[in-house]
Amino acid sequence: METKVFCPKCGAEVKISKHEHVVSNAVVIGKDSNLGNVFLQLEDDRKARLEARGIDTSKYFSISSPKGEDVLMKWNDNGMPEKVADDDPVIVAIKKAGNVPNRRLFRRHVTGQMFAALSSEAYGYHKGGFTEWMKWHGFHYTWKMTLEEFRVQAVLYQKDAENFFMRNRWFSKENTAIAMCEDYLDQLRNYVDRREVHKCKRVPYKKIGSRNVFLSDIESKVFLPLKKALYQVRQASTPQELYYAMRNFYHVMPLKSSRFKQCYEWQDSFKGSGAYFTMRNLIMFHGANYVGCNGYDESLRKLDEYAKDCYGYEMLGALKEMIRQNGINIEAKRAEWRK
Amino acid sequence: MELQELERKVESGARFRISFENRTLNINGKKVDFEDSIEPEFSFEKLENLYRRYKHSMPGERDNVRKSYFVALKEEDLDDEDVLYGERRQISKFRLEFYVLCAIVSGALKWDENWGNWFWQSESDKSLVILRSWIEP
Repeated sequence: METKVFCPKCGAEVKISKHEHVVSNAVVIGKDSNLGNVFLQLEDDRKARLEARGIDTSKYFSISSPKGEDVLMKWNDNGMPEKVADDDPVIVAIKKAGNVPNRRLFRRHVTGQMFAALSSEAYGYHKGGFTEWMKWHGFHYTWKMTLEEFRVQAVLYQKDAENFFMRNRWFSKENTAIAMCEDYLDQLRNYVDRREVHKCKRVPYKKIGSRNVFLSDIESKVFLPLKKALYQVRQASTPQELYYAMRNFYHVMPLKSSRFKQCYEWQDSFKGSGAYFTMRNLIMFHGANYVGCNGYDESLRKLDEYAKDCYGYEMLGALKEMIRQNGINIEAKRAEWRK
Repeated sequence: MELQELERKVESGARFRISFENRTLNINGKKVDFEDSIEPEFSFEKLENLYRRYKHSMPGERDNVRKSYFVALKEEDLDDEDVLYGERRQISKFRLEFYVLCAIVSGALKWDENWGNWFWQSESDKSLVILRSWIEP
């Protein structure tokens, strides 16, 4: 019986050696180990974290309902299983203890980056403040960051719908992808129009990036591939297709000059996304309240309601107001960290 | 070039490379004369403070690629306070390495035979190590 090893989370098969063999302090299994299908053990420390907070979880377990949902159950005093109510003391204690932070999922690095941006100082051409900090990152950063965002969204679309919709609210085909591509085409057109005309054997040409292109070929060799790539972006119907289409557009770009400006729609999405996730983090893990709210649930609800219909710069304004109302002094905290 | 000017350049994104063995500082690929900014004093307390800030600093893209003289925590091992309010790793790395470089060049940091044959290790943080080959190449 051939041995196969699988990841318990995603089901992917883990590559193992062909033959079983002995090393200095262990036996390495191989395909001929005759163990059948083996699922790796995941170290789940959620139970340990709850018990560290004084929450006894020994009576609790979960089962899958016929609809496929997980139902939390417990053994009652008569030894019979019953469904856990919302006012169960353990559930209340868990809610009171706060969220268990999953660093990868809740994007705390976004909060760190926003705080660094809000407290950035002026130097040289950098005038200080969030917008200057964002513009200082330049044109390349917008595309690199956006491509990575769409790549992650393509994965989340299949595995985590809730987080996908949270992220797609700010970076999507309609409000970011198409706008970025069209903005690049406009800037490239202006750039090409301003380029000096040279001649090679009396045939005029322009230098675009590292290529010399005859004037008669500019439309077909420079702009047509980009227009085709833009068409693919518009036609993309799934996040996966959108990611591939954007990546293709980026590869087809003849010039990625640092002189090009960041797309306005991207700037707005960047502000909105950064502000939104920062506010979520502050509410969930740092006890902050949303503007005009009192309490965790109300704050999160109001934040989501506001985020539905506002622009990115409005979210940034809400973040600054929230920081002020909650008495968070970023500069003082950074100075304290340095001690 | 003065220390503040060097720090500003690094903060605005300049790439730097410090070599203890060659006693050099390169900024954006060019060798920089830093004799104006050498401090003649050296203290292990300040070294440990700079190292603590470096160890708990927030890493960026460049930090995954370059080899470093000192060991810092990975992003997933950092506390929330470090992520929210910490320095960028490139800046704290520059301050730490430049401090050691100046101490070596000025002669304020000399190898003491009581430290052993190979390295000096901090008592308060075992991950802070200075190799003998940095001071006596």
